[in-house]
Amino acid sequence: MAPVAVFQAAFLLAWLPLSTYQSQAVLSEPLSLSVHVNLTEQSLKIEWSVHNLTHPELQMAFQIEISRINKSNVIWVENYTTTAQQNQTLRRMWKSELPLECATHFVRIRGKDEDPRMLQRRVWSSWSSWVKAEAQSLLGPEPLLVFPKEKQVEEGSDVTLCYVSRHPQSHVVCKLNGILVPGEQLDPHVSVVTLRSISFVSKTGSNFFCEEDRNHTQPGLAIFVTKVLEEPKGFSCETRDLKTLNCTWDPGSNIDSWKFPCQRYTLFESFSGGKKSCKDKHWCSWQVDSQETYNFTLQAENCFRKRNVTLLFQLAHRVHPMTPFKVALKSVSATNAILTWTVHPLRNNFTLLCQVELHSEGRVVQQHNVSTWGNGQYSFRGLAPATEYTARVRCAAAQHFWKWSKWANQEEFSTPQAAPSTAPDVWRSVRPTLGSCNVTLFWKPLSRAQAHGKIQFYTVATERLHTPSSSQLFPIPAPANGTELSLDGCSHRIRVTASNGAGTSPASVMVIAGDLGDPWNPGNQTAEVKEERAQGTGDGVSMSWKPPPGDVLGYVVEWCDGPRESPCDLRWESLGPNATSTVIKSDAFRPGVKYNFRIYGISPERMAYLLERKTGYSQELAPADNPRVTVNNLTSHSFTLSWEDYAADAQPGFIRGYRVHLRSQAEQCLPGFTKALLPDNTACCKHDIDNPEQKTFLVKNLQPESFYEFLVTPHTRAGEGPAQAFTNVITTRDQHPRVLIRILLPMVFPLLFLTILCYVKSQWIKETCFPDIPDPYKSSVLSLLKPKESPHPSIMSVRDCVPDALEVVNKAARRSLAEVECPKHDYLHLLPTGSSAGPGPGICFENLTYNQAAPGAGPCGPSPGQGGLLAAPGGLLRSPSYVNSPGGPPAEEAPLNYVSQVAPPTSGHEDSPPTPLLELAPRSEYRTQMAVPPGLASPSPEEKSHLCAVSLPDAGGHGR
Amino acid sequence: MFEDFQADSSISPLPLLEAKIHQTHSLARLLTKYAEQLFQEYVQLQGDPFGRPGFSPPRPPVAGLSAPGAGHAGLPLPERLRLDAGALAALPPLLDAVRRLQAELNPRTALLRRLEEAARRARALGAALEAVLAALGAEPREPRPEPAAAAAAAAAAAAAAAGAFPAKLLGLRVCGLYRDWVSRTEADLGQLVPGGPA
Repeated sequence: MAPVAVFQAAFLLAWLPLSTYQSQAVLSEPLSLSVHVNLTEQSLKIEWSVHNLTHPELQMAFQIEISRINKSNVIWVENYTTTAQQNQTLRRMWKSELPLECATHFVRIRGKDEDPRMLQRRVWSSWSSWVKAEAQSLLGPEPLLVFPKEKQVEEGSDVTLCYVSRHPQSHVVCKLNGILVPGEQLDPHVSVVTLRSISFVSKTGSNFFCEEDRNHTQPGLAIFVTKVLEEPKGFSCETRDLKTLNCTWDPGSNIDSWKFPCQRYTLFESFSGGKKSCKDKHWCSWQVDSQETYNFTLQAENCFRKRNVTLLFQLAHRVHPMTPFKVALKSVSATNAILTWTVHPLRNNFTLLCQVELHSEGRVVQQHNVSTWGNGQYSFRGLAPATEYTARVRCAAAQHFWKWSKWANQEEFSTPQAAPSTAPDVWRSVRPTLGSCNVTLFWKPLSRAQAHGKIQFYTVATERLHTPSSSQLFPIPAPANGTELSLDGCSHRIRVTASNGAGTSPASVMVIAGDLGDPWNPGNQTAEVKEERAQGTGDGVSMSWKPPPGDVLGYVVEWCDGPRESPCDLRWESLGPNATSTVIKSDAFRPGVKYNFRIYGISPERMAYLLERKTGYSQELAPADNPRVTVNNLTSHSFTLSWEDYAADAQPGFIRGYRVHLRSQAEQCLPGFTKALLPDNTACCKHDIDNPEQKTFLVKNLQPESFYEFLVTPHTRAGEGPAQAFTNVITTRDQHPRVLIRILLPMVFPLLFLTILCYVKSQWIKETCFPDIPDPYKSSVLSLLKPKESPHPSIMSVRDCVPDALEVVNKAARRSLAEVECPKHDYLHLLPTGSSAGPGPGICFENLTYNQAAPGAGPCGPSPGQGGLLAAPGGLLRSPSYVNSPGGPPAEEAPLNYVSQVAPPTSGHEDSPPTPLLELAPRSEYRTQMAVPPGLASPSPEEKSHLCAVSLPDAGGHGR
Repeated sequence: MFEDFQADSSISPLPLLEAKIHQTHSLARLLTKYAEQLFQEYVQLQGDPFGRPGFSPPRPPVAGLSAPGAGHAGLPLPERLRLDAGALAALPPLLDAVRRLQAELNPRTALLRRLEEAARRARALGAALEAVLAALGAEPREPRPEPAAAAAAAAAAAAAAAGAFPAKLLGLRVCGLYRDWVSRTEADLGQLVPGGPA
């Protein structure tokens, strides 16, 4: 422990002298600290003095602390360094954001020397004691107070206000410009209101006031808000006399409050170091000396900020001359005048450029530039006689143009009259009558440039072509524009002149003759000139013509300035000899109105002859109405549209064609039609007719009994006729059945007739072709089949037969043909020779006349060997094994089994013994000669033993 | 009432007095209209909330001039006319003071000219009313303890020192008093006019 104690003692011994040295550098606390409250500026003025300085002057640092409400609530610390003198009073100003009336403030200060001459360590002195700055004691007895009394701020800044209420329990509301603003309680009596980013409302200030529910007092204050200072715009300087510079600028929307105006503008010139406070916020003047170059700075300033703009220029480049004076006119004639003026003198040899202008009828007719340095003049030439003019002049620097001066006072003058320069434009209308000619003359008033003064009268002189001495003069006072003459005959020369106070114009000459035929084409008469169409241009009518073969002095286009049906207001336009086309314009032209034009050529003899006739519209319009369409020839597949009575000429444009609109339920358009959209966006099919003369249209390829709608619209160059309602039409039924009826009916009647005829003749046919009881002798068929080479009919005569057997036929029950069997025959063999009764050769005949299909299917069935043959196609006729086949024995030689198909001989038969046959008669039966199917013709097994030979006629007999 | 004054009057002939009363009444009626126009123009220039109908700041007496009391109508007509004349005599310096205050707040406005005209018209009406009173043989009004001009100047100075808002309030109060007293004078004189309210 001993070494530690020794070390501590040594450390203390070393530190004590050091601390003693340091204490020597510590200043005594600043004395005489005082604080003064300035409520107007809401600031505290802090004053103090320093004593016991080691030097007469010493640089020192001070630290100031400011507390609010209580001492521990330090709200501000400021370090301040200055050179202090012994017993000198030092001052600092501190501005409070919070109105000082609303809170007590405390201030204290300490200091230390900062002088470089002092080698001691610098240590702050001890703090002075707190000094209280209280403004609340200055308040009056009012129950509610608002602070500060008034305030000036820049727009957009924050403002802190406060109010003091004597009654902590009362309810206080505050408003700015009528809008409630909340407060923040600072202590039981004081509340703070902070207005953020306050806006400019008016120059008279924004009103802030508070109300207390207890006593209804309304204390308040006005806050004067100043707009943020803007930089001056358009800063410019110029001189008018090279003696004074006048600088101007636009201050912008710099609005100062009326209560606290603090805006000001100051002009600085850097080369000369001059400065001038401007009395106006828009301009400032500066005296010019020998300086040629200037560098100006304009400083705008208000209570819160400053703005600067600069301008560097040469004085000679900023010359804006003053207005010329003593402007006068002299030596004014009909076409010339001299303008003189004087300019304000500048420096020697400073040349000005002056601009002179001559106006007439409100427009500039001449403009010239003249250089001058003193008195100037200019001579106007080419003026129009009898015309009012106005002359004026202005000047600018010639070398470095800056600005024109103002125009000098305008000088008005008039040139005197002169004789009219141009002959009147004259035209005529001639109406020949018996023995005389009524001529109406028209002329256009001369323009001002042609008249050269006021026209006083016109003179019309007429003379007969063949007797020039018979001249007549007709003076007609102005402002007449025509006259009517009754001349003796239609061959006259007419001269028209216009006169003013200074003279007479050249004469306008025309010749009228009785024969108005075309001198270049003698056979061409007026009535034969075909009318052609002219093209409208919107505001006029364009037309062209073919020049006549001979010389012309010019052309005249004549028309009536009104519709065709109205009285003719004759107009004309004269054209030169080289013109072959023109556009006629007139204010009277109306769209959709057709006008007629006549083009005349003026011959060298000054006679007018009709060349062409034109008709046209200045502007065509779409047709006003659609044609009334009738439907003709309506069938199942077509109909015809007709609008023959449509007056195409009465339309407001040339009809260029028609459009047929068709609607149906079919999606596809008919051939020749294309799809189109109507103005109401409904679809339809259309067909365009380009020939305006075609006024019928066949709509074909239609469906029978179908519904169709159509609309026919004409169209001109301007458009189509109105989209009116469609007309309905329904096609008729199909006509094929009628056609068939027409074809079939003529066929049915003959057939019916034939049928009836056949029916009527059926008995005959039956008896002829298939009698109930055929009689070979009566058969016409057999007669037809009778061979030529056979002189005898192949009918066997009974008388020629020697009966050798009788067949007894047991009549069975009647059976159908399908059940027909070969009946069981009982044969009575007739043996003429007494041969045995057993089977022997016999002859069996069967009439094959009526067996059509199966001759062997008769009662005598075929032999078993023949069954197949019967079934084979071709039947027996082709059977080679048949009995009468070529290979077989002849029929005469074969034994025959004949069954007579003949009716039993009657009792009266002369060659028949009646006895045995009569007994058999009841059993005998006639069998019908019908065809039997081959199958059914097969003989029964029992019958096989009773083979029947079937005899057929020989090759040239019945078998065919 | 008019007959009573006539009985007391032995100075002016009747037609002249009647014409004087008519003339003074007409002037009061004209000034009533002008006073209303002045009041409206004043509140419009002071900004919100002065133009609002609900804005009714306290109305302390101004330089010894109070508003016509509620019992004014119950007073005898000569007394009422004397009170009217006294108020009209006190108003011109107040209006002048307000004009000076407004010269800072609203310079280059027609309000300043109207305030000046109002002061002049108040004087004219007061003088005419004094003449009528004199013609009627009424006793002159009691002299003021202090000159009205000095009182008005003091009031204006106090308002100006308190700030722009109190100055605006003072002007509002003075313009309101001017309107009320001119109107009151018109009504009181109307009772002297034949055919007027009894």
